[in-house]
Amino acid sequence: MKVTKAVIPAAGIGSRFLPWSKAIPKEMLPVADKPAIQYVVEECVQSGIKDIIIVTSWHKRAIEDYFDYLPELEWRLKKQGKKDKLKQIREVAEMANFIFVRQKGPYGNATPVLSSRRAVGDEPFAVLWGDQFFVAKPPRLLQCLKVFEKYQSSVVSGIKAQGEEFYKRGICDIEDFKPGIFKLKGIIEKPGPQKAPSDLAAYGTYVLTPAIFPILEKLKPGRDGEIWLVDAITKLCHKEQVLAVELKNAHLYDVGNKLNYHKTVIDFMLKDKEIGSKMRKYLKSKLCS
Amino acid sequence: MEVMKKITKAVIAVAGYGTRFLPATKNQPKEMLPIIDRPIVQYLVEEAVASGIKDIILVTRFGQSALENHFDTNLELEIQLEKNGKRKALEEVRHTYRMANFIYIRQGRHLPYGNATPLICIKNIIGKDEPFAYMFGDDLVKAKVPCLKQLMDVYYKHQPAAILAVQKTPHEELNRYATVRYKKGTRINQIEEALEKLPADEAPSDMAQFGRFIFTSKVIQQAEKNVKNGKFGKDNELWVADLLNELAKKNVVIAQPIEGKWMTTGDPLRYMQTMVEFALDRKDIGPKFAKYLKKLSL
Repeated sequence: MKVTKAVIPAAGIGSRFLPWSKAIPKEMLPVADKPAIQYVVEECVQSGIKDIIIVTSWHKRAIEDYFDYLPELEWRLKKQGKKDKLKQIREVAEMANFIFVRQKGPYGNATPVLSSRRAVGDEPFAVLWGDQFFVAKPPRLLQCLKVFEKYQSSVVSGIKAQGEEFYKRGICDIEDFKPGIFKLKGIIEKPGPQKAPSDLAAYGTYVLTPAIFPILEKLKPGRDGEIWLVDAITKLCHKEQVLAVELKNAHLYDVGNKLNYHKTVIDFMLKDKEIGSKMRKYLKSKLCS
Repeated sequence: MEVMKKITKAVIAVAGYGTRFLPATKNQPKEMLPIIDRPIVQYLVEEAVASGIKDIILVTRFGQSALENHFDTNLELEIQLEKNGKRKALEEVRHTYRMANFIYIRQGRHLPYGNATPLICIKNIIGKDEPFAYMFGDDLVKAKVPCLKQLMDVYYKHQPAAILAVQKTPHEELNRYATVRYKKGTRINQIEEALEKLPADEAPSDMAQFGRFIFTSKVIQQAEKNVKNGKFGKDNELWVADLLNELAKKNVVIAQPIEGKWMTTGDPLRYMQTMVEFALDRKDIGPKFAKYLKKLSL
């Protein structure tokens, strides 16, 4: 079966960016000239996804408007003869079919996935977080989908963990399967380097069969009294084969906290053809002074 | 003797389209772009409040409700933060709507383009002979004494028809801004002319105007007069510099050099530079961010 739907949870309040995120969703944080969530959507589209299901909440209207037409602005750009910009803002609305679902249920990152159940239906689907994206060749979701299509089992993406990450990430308990592909037995949250079952950290891409939904429905609160997607995936491993894929040529950009957001913004700025060299010059002089 | 009127209102122009930031600014004003964890416009409001301003008048346009919501209460968010025990974030959120009285006016699209057009919109909110502060929504100033306060102090001392803030600017950037010609022998920085965006070699000085002003109703009257007579400047727009130029012929107009650092966020490069400046100053992320930048191969 082919995967054509991707779920992007984007309902969190973004308290790390308050007060900025008071009236604007944190997924709209700009990276170069685009909001962060657009990079996630583009990764999906480049991987062949047709339907983007964004799980939002009461203060996220801006995301819906962003992926829509905006006649007033189009009128203005047309009048100013800014054809490139006009094309750009229309493309944002046309690059996929957008479906918006409101999150309801307990705290935790499993809740948005459960909220998307009716929109997903009885078919496999992808889950990607709304505040982190990868620059990867081929796109990271495509790397996962290829494995899914070959083996028809759920897939979790992973990256080799280093240093502090053993304390911050979920680490995969795995057995060898094929080069770069592993059988997943479970995900251990933040085990530290001594207790870690491997050095493969589970990183934010999931291709799941609909068998995940009955598990999510019965899922009990875990850490901090919230319900967690990795707990559900560990349970799924006991029921059917789940694979872990080590991503290749992939760089993660996580804009979930202020420091990483600023690092991301700087990286993109320096890569920019028009202003990259000026920014480089500026930073050099800034850091020397 | 007439009692001098106090400056209690600040008008912030935020009706621009932010075309240079598209698509990121597709459905939010560019003044809502973040600098660390607050929108650009909040830094301006805070500067005004720190200078003693009570009423913040934002001249906005269609599609900018995010701006109004930012300075409003947000009960659901506050309840959630309270539940999660996030006291500091809750304080930050409450501060946004408690710090001043906010007034919004829409700038209709029937009005001419230009950085002086908001003056036409606000004329009924400003009292007769009431001086007020005027700010461009994309200019930020890092200063010990808030920039607006510096201008207000000059106003109370000399009571001119208008004051504009200026800063010495590198030669190659002069063509981006209005520049001023000082009157010979002036001790109060009185100007003869203000000229919008001349080629650097024709600029009358290297003192460039930026978005902080103290205006009297004379400036509004001049704006109305220019619109009525169809007198527009460069690119057929209504420019503040043109109004000041006209006023300076018969009135005292002061171009006040500011103690501090003016930074603009009007285009992606300068916005990013401003972001870096502010991030490095911050206690929470500054040191780590500096470490990261130093490791980059620049």
